[in-house]
Amino acid sequence: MSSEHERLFESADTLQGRLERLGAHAYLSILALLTAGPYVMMILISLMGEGWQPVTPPKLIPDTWSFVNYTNVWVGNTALLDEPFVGFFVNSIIYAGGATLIILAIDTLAGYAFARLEFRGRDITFLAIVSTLMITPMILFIPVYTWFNQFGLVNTRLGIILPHTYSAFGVFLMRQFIKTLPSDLEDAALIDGCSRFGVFWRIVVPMLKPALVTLGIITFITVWNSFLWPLILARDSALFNLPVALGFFQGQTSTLWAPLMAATAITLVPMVILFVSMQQYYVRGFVVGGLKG
Amino acid sequence: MASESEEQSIELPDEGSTGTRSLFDNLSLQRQESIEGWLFVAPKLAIGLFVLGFPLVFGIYLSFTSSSLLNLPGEFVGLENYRWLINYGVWWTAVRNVLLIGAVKIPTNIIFSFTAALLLREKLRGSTLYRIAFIIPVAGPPVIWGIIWRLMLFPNEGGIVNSMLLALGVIGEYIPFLSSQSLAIPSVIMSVIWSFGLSMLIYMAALSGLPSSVMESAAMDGANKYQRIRYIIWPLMKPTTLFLVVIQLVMVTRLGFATVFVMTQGGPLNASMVPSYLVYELAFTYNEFGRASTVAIGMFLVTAILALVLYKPLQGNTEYYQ
Repeated sequence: MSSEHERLFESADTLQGRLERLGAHAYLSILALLTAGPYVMMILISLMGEGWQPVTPPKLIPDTWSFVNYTNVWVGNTALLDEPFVGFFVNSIIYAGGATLIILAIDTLAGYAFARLEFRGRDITFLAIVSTLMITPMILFIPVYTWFNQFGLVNTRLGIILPHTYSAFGVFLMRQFIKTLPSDLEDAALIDGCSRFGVFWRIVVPMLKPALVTLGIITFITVWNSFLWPLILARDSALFNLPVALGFFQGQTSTLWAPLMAATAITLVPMVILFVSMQQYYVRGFVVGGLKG
Repeated sequence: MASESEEQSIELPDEGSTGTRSLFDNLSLQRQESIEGWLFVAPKLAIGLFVLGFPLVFGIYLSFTSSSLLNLPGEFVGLENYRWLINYGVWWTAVRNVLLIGAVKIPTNIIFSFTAALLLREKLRGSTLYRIAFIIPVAGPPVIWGIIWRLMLFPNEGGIVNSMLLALGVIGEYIPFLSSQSLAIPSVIMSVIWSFGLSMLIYMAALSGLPSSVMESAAMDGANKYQRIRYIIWPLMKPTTLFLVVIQLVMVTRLGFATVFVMTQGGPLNASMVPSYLVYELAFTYNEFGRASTVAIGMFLVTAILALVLYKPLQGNTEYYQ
């Protein structure tokens, strides 16, 4: 963000400027309280020891701080769940990492072709791919389940990864990015006898690093947070990812809130760190992919 | 495409190489590029057909059958399922609920994200903290919104909302938010409207791209703050707003699946049913694959109609901004 932009508020030295800032703080704090307040409560409860019991009026500051819920949940040593949460954590990394690698490879290749190569049927194919943005998973999950059942893909890690590896957005994003790059170097390399794939791999891909990071983060977070596909395709709890594990275990208790909150925090915190530290990349994906498209 | 003679005439000068490579080189440049193009796109098309193309066609077919998991693809029953759907009260409740969620979620998303982006642009003290607070809900899975708000709304001393309202004397006894037919959907809505952080970041990116000359000249013309926001910034943000609204409209059918799964399972008595959960329940609880597919296609049609109806008013007068 440019520091030179026109401010709306008066200078903080004036009374009006101070009142304006006060009003802004009041509005933003209320909004933040409603948005992040429940999450702060989640963290506080998770640190209160396994036997936390709710009281009226609510008591949210622990007498003793303890990480016992985290260690118990991690190794599966609570009444809430007897399966180690670390297993779901590893599953989540496998699903999100696997889908991300596949999408990066496939969408970069296709995006390059759509941006640079001339071939019959290119534009209609691209349009067909982009229009699949309208297709919701809701329409697909029954046929995909039955279809995957035929191939023995239900209840396998590969089967859970596959529905996440098609992204209309990814190919669109890569095409837009590649179109903004100068093509002189590629043309020169082609004339020098470099193969098309050589041009792609040695010249285009190195220039795409920011785009790859953008698409990689967006995909990783999306798949990490995926609920529907793993819910349907993992029949065995050993294959659950974190959100599905949370969805199941929360239904089995109305009292063991402290371990549940620790489990929730384990699912959420890595993504908050990733999102906040990479927000510039994340947003650029939507700006390039959506607004200039 | 290119005929034999054309290929001969545009033959590549490089005759030195041998094997498959030279075969490829002997093709016209145009045809070469065509083959390369399709080769680059092939993995995308393969995965697209496997996880989307075939399933989509099969899903449409299933919606005309009486399929179940063990009886696939079942019997062809024509429009029977669609007739059933039109007379199925739960379906209409589900459609009404998802439209209601969208009708609250989309406008609040735009209002919260636009106002927050505008204010955070003023570089207030603590704006990084505010920004992180607004990002938290969008970073994690929606299933967490459901878990957290289920706890917040719990109908005993565990639910902080009930507990606070009681401590403050606003209510005399605990309100069973999630098991009340009239409060279940408002509770679900309450859990999904706080995820405006991504829209806020997109507005912030768009605002930082505003030409400062426009703002300066407006300030010199004596436009006050409200006028500058209302008549200059807001119209300039229209492409961004349009983008955010359209994306969310497309996503409207996905709203609420995880939160409903966690908070109410569509209950009580289907009062908080949403179409995505209805598809899931019909398919995996009642083993009605055919009818579940009909519900899914029905919801797709509702979205398509919605998009057609809203397209013109949303589009409005955009030439001005281009």
